[in-house]
Amino acid sequence: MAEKPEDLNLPTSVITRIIKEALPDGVIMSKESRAAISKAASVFVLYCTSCANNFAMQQKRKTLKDVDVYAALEDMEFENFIPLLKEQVENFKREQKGKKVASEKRKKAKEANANSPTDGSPNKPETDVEMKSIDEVDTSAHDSIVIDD
Amino acid sequence: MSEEVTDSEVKESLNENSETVPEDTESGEAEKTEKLTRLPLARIRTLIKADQDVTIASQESVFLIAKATEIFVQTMAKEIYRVTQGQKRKTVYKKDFDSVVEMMDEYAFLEGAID
Repeated sequence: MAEKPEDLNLPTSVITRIIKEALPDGVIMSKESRAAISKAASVFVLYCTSCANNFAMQQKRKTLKDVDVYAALEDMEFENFIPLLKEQVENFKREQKGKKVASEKRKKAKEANANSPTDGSPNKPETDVEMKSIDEVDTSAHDSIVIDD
Repeated sequence: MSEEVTDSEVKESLNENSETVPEDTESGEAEKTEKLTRLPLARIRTLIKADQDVTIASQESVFLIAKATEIFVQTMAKEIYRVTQGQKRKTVYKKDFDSVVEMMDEYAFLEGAID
């Protein structure tokens, strides 16, 4: 699997912004130190993933879940991250739910529009026509159908 | 490793982060116009998939790893700066980063990973 080095890097602009906001004003980061932190972040993702996946595999699960990430962070001695993460994940779940509800609403609205008669859907007019023709036929068939004993 | 910030990278990170904003307002919940995470989830997912032992990762776990990475960057930057300050400097150098990796257990996993 050929992996371009760019794909494994996180956007420099974002990393720089995060660092800048963490440090007081006036601090200068050398290019090398910034690059080192950026690379460290990528390694962190890989290491965290690996640890988390070990927990998932231990529990015979194929899907990496949130509990695995928490367990990994504890293992990595970053357990102090966990309370803040748990808070943030609630917001994330709410946002995902909101998106799901919104898209389901949109789907239902589309379906409702498709079924409404205002579009002149073929169903009703056809039955009207049929009934008319039956009425017409009745009068004429009345004579021909009647079979008297 | 490309250290240059290309325009496309900046646009990409901005686009991927701002994607969540319009959808928030669409769903009617305009409470959070802040992004939940600045690191693009798609890129994080690429990194996770690089691990061949990983079959599938839940959306939540991808988010958690992204967020944890953000906190990691903040935390590590602060630790590194402490070393810089200790040497009465205002400019952070690579050697300050190296010191942190050497001295602090939590960062030992980075030993040898960054040249």
